[in-house]
Order: sequence, then structure tokens, then C-alpha cells
Amino acid sequence: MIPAEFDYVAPETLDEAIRALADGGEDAKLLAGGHSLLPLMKLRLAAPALLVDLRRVPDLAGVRANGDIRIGAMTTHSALVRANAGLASVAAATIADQQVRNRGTIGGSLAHGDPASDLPAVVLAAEGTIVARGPGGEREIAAAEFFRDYLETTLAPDEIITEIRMPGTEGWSFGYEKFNRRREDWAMVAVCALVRIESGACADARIGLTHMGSTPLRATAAEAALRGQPLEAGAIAAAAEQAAEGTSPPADLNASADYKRHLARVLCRRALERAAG
Amino acid sequence: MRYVAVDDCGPAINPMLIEGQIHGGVVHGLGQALYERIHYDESGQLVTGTFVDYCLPSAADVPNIETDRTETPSPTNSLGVKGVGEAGAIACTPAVVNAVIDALRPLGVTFINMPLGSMDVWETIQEAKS
Ligand SMILES: Cc1cc2nc3c(=O)[nH]c(=O)nc-3n(C[C@H](O)[C@H](O)[C@H](O)COP(=O)(O)OP(=O)(O)OC[C@H]3O[C@@H](n4cnc5c(N)ncnc54)[C@H](O)[C@@H]3O)c2cc1C
Repeated sequence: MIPAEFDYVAPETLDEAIRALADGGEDAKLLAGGHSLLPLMKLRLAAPALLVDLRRVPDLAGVRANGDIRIGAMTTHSALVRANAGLASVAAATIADQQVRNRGTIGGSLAHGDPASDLPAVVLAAEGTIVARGPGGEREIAAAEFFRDYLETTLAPDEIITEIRMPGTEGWSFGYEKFNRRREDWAMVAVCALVRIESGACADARIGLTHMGSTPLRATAAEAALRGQPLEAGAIAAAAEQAAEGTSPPADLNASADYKRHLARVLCRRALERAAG
Repeated sequence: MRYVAVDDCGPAINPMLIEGQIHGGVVHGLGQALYERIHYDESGQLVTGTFVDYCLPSAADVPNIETDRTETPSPTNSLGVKGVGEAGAIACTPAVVNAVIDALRPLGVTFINMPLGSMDVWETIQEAKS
């Protein structure tokens, strides 16, 4: 329960934070809300020698939604809920309890790369990008290129996520369905669906799956089955049947791979029904 | 979902304390019926060693609990009082498990092991159907 000894700095600017992280080398870690990192440190599954706290770095928190949606990396889950920015806000409201939502951040959630977390699949399905700054400057990483494996992303160890960008959702409707043992648990499985409806038919569909693999996934077969179809019960049910196509979900004590595939199909149907209105 | 608990602990000396005990007991009983499981993997490692994995219900998981009581004094002490601490817990677990079995009765289900995780219920349904 007690972490190994570590040093701590709380830089006042982004450049200082980038420098501190680079100087700390392999043993340095960024600290955002601490709700993923600190539990790992207390279990001694992580033992960074230096924590670079981002809380004093200005301009990293906040949500701007005009046209596209821009969410600062240090935006807490509760601030995202309050911003009322569509799918991401609805998904953020299902994260754990109020205490966790008051501390945990979207940047930390994406950087941690846990496929059971809610926001990774949302950013993936929305075809968002992750903006990162490092000693070499700024780059924008497509969500589809970001998640590599369980707790592994393509972010370099000396890079800091500054912002998450998602395309505007005008013309799109969405649904978010999460299934967990208890109200405040991580998802056994969650499904987010974004659909664009044109004259009663589905012009485009983007479906994200949480906890159905070692990374967040897109339900591409279900998406393809839905495109061009009328958004009514029959077509939705037929598309949702393919929600788990091609996945090999990680099993655990509470959910076998088969059960997770069943959940994905049911939740996909519900998410699409909600999106269809 | 509706949960009604009617108990009898003799004359009610402190009604609020009695309700608190009943509420706590019911939640404890729900935990046993639905969540609490000690599990070791093949190598003997306890995999339910923290409260993330060893699951207890929190306030968000608990239905509204309606309480009522009858008052039958005990003849064995001068106050006529009886214990109340465990009453909620004792009744709740079988009530919940029996409610689930009752719901599955049309499929021919007459038994299901605790705790009733959602997967356990789903698997029981699949087996009953096949
Ligand atoms: C009891 C509990 C229940 C939870 N339930 C859920 C849930 O249901 N759904 C869910 O999605 N999450 C859940 N979480 C996780 C929670 O949302 C975390 O807060 C979040 O995943 C990590 O964000 P953080 O700000 O706390 O990051 P931290 O713990 O501070 O950091 C996590 C990792 O990200 C890195 N990092 C942080 N910020 C940046 C940045 N800007 N750039 C680069 N790297 C960065 C850190 O170095 C670290 O490696 C839960 C957590 C707890 C404790």
C-alpha cells in the first residue's frame, strides 16, 4: 500500500514540464489525476523515480465545442460531463464515482491505454486525434494509430498529451451503453455508436467497443452492415448481431469471452436504438 | 425492483437504529447473493484480494428498502426485546436468490449457485435452453 520513494516536481509551464520529463529519462512519469498511476505505484507495479505533475501547467484543461470538439488533456471527467459535449460527456458520466471523476482526466485515461476505460473507444469511434508535445515539437496522432496493446500506446515516453480533438457531431446522433457488475465499476463491455441519418437511412455509422480486446476496437462488420440501411429495429438488430465479429475479448473471473461477445451484441443493439431515437 | 423487509424485534426502543440495522443487513445480504466471491486461480493465487475484485454493493447498487415491523414482546427478558442486527442479512440472501430462480422457473431452472453474477445467470439460461 505504500509506494516506493520518488521525487516530485510541479512545473509552471508546458516547456518546463517537457524538459523535466526529458531530464528524468526512463524513470520519470507524468502525473495527472493520479487515479490510474497512484494505485499502480501503491501496488508497486510501477516505481517511477520522478513524478512530473501537470496540475500547474496552464491552459491544459477545458472543453471547446465550436465546429470540432477540443478537450484539454487535463480536463477532468466531471468537467467533461458538465461541458455537455455529446457522446464523450455521456460516456464520462459513467466513469466510476464522483470522487474519481473529480480527479481523473481524459489525457490520463488515453495515455494509460486501458481497454476497459470508457473514453478510449469514444475517441476511436469519433475518429478523433490526440495532440502531443515533446522535445521535438507537436504532432497529432489519429486515435486509430494511438492504441497499440494493453496499457500500451504509440505516445513516446517524452511526449505530453495536450489536447484531444474530435470532429463536430452536427448531423450525428449517438448512444452509449455500458454494462458492469456494479454501477461504479469498469465496463465488462461498453459500446458507443455514432450514426448519421439522411432521409431516414443510415448514411454512416461508427461503433466503438470497450473491453473487447487488448485495445479499444471498432465494430467494422456491424458498421458496414448498417450503412445504407433504414434505421429501424430489423436492420439495427441484424447489424448488432455482428458487433463482436473478429474480436477475441479477454476473459476474466466475471465474464468469459463468449459472455462478452453476447454483451457486445446486446449493447450494440441498444446503443443503435438510442442513436436512432 | 422493490425490497420490503418486515421484522419483529419486540418493542422498538430506538426505531431509527432498527431501520439502520435492517438497511445495513439487507445490503450485506445482497452482497452475498450477488457479488461476494473468494476465488483462487489454478496456482493458488487469491485473485479477489482487493475491494476492486472482491465486490461489495455500494449505495448506487442498492434498491429502495421499505421497512415495516410487528412487535411481539419476548417472554424471556423484562424489556421484551429481541435482536435485530442480523435480521436483514439473514432474510435478504435467500429472498434474492429465490426471486431469480422464480424468474427462471419457466425455463425449468430450480437451482443456481451463489453469488449470482450476471454471467452465472446468463450461463444458466443458456444451459436451460439447450
Ligand atoms: C476506483 C476507480 C474506478 C475507476 N473506474 C473507471 C471507469 O469506470 N472507467 C474509466 O474509464 N476509468 C476508470 N477509472 C480510471 C480513471 O478514469 C483514471 O482517472 C484515468 O484512467 C486516468 O486518468 P488520471 O488523470 O487519473 O491519470 P494518472 O493516473 O495521473 O496517469 C495515468 C497515466 O497516464 C499518464 N499521463 C497522464 N496525463 C498525461 C498526459 N497529459 N500526457 C501523457 N501522459 C499522461 C501518466 O504518466 C500515467 O502513466 C477508475 C479509477 C479508479 C481509481
